[in-house]
Amino acid sequence: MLRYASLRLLATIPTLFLVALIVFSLIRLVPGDPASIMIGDSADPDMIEQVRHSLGLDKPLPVQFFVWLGNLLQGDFGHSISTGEDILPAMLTRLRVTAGVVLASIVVALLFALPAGIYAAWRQNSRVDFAIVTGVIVCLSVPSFWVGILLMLVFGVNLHWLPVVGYVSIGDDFINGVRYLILPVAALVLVEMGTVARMTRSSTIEVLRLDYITHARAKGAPESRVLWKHAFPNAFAPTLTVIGLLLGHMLGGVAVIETVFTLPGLGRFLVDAISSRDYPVIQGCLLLVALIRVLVNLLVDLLYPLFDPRVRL
Amino acid sequence: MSKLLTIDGLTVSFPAPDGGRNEVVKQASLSIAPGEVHGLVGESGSGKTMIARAILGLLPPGGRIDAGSIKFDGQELLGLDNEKLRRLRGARIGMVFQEPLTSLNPALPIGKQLAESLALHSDLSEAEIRKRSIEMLAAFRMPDPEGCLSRYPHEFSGGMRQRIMLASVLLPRPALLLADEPTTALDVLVQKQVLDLASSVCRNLGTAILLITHDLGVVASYCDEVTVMRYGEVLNDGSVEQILLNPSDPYTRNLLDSLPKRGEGGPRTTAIGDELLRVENLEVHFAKRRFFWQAPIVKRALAGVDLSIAKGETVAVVGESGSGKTTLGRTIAGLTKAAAGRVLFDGVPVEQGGRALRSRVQMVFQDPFSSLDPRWRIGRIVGEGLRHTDVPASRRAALVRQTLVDVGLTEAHYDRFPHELSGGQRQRVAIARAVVMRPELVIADEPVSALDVTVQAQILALFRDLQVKHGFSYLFISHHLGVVEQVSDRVVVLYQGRVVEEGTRDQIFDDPRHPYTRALLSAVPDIRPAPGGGWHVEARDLERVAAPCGRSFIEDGLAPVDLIEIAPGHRIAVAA
Repeated sequence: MLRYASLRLLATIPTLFLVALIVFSLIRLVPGDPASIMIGDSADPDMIEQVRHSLGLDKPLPVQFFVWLGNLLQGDFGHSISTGEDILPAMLTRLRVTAGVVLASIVVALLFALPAGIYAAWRQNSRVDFAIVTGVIVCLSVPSFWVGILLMLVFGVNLHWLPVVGYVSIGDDFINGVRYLILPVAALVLVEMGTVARMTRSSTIEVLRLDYITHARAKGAPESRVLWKHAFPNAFAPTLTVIGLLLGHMLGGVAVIETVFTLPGLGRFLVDAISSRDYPVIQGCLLLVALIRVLVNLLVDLLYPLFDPRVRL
Repeated sequence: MSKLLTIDGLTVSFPAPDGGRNEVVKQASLSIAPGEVHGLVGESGSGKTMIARAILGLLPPGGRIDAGSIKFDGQELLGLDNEKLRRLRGARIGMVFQEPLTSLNPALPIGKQLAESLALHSDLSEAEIRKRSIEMLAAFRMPDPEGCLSRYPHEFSGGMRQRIMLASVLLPRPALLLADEPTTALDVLVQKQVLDLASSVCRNLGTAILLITHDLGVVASYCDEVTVMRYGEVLNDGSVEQILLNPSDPYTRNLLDSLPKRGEGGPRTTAIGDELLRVENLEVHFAKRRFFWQAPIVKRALAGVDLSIAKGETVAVVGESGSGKTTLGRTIAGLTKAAAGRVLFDGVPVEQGGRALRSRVQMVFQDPFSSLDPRWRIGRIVGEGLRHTDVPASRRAALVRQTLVDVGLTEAHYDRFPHELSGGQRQRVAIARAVVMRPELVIADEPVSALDVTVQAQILALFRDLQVKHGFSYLFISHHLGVVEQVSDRVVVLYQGRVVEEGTRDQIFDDPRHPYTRALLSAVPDIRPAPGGGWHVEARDLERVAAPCGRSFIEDGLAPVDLIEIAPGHRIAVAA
């Protein structure tokens, strides 16, 4: 297992190199450059050239790429062009915000979605199943930002129960921190619940058809035992894959939700960097996102044997 | 003697597409005495499984018991509340299923699954349950029974899993065991072992068995009483002697007549001509690697296989699962690459034959449900291969229709979809798809294994008729010795990727020499017509014979072998 994990980590190096190369070239294909955006439209060409020179943007592209890569290998992500911040600590601070929101929302979503999916599968085609499936479809079809805005309107603007905009770190002030997180987490939970419940329902339906479930019943096991001991561990393996994909996707930045709730997360950091053509920040963020995805997928793969002993790592 | 189980007038129905209900079991009655082994036979769709499910109150969704009564040990089961029924399940009535690969929970260790029913139904201590589990696994001759407890189902072969299943079900010492095709998915040698063990353990425990099967040989060898079902109705029941071996009822007679036997279908009229296919020293390997830079793990599927097929000849390849018989067929068809050796078709290596060769060699697969594209109409499925031949487009449809008629379907099937057809009809489509190409060689991989005996007999007759009409050669891959005995001219026995014996049909079936062939032939109980009318069970118990010329036999298929000829065309493998 350790061997497997280290081999997998080794295999991510070429992946990350390719990501770095693609990210680097793609941003430079986008029109507009950081120097002119920094100085503004009216600046004279000489000044722009001077700024470009000081940022190292006048060097040939391959040279720029390898300079960046060389610094990366020493753990130096460079500095933001627009704010001058050191990028690595800046990203990590923002990742903490995003991760808090995303992990909290996944945990809450699983608490509701797993039992709902299993129950719906167990009572397939019943009224409750129909209600759950309808709820799932609603969750899946409603965009998260719209849910976010709605939640803000109802709980923030009309009821004044919760703050609408801003962020307080949980570390600084726990109660207030949680109050600021409730709405964004709720908006994400709704969306995640749909995906997880749907997957759980269909994989549980598959499993409930199998002989070993009938066999468990033929042994005289009560239904609750049949569902939780026999069906759930087997049905959870495919759901785990979906959770992994979801987690990787969301940790990469829930840009829309972060923008709606003005959270200082990774997604918003990236969006802001794109509009100011802040090359080093964009590159750093995308690379970090790729790394997170790879690691989350690895984690999911390492968890697989817990639910499916046939998988040997 | 008072009966253990009495079913009276049982009717089970499922919702029909038209909104009404389909009766899958109609007014069925049967009874089982304590300790009796009772066979329940019938073809697919006869309702035999539903009876077992109804006893336990575990009908699939939609199923409903409309009438009748099921009395177990004097207690009426129908209308019993769930909790009381649950206490009977596992404790007094156990059930095992057909598919050993899906009937154990892959996520739980064996020990937990064994212990479950005892823990649910008794107050025994954990240590006592563990002790009994180990004893029961030992009774089923599991190697290292104690170690088994912490292992997972996927670590065991199909036969071992079925033994574990039986051990787990028999652990609470039920009075009745419902066994639904418990050995159908197993190889013949394993089937015999599992059935022998199960019947001896049950005899010791005094457990009665309801053995549901389509295999008349198994019923005749292991059961005391038998019930024959058809289309949900019980046709007759009584002792095996009376019902099965001296049947008065035409359906049972028809079932017995359908059993494959040598010389069925009249004398062959096609002449055997020159050599069509030659396989020399064939090696096939499967390699698997986890990361692209790692060295692959190589598994040898075939080693040093020689084979030849003459024009118009039927050669059967027999062997158990994993023996390499399917790989052999696929390699000959050019679907799998050989690591060494040659496959010559009409003197040309198959890998050089290209597309022209593809149309001269056709395949028929085992499972008629997955071998036809569910989204294509039959006409398109059968006609597809013709696009790559010189048959002009204008004539193709007519040719396809004609072929459908040739294989016993009608022209009306041309526009149907596969799901509208029965298993037997689908297999006819698969055969039509092969013969429409007018091939010279048809490779049929277990073409009748998924079919009921009466349908199987029809398909085998069809194979014979088509061969007479078109004169092609067959490579007939099967694990079913009865079928092989009926269709083959020559037989090749494969064991762990090597040929261990080959010869003419009569040489193999009348004078088998290799211990593996002899074990195979001893494992199948055959029902054959008795000389004085009726039928009798013919079980052979072939002792080992010494290898000729002072050589010794090889038991391990991986060791190198010599094939020596002991009679014209009859060759056996001995230690090199």
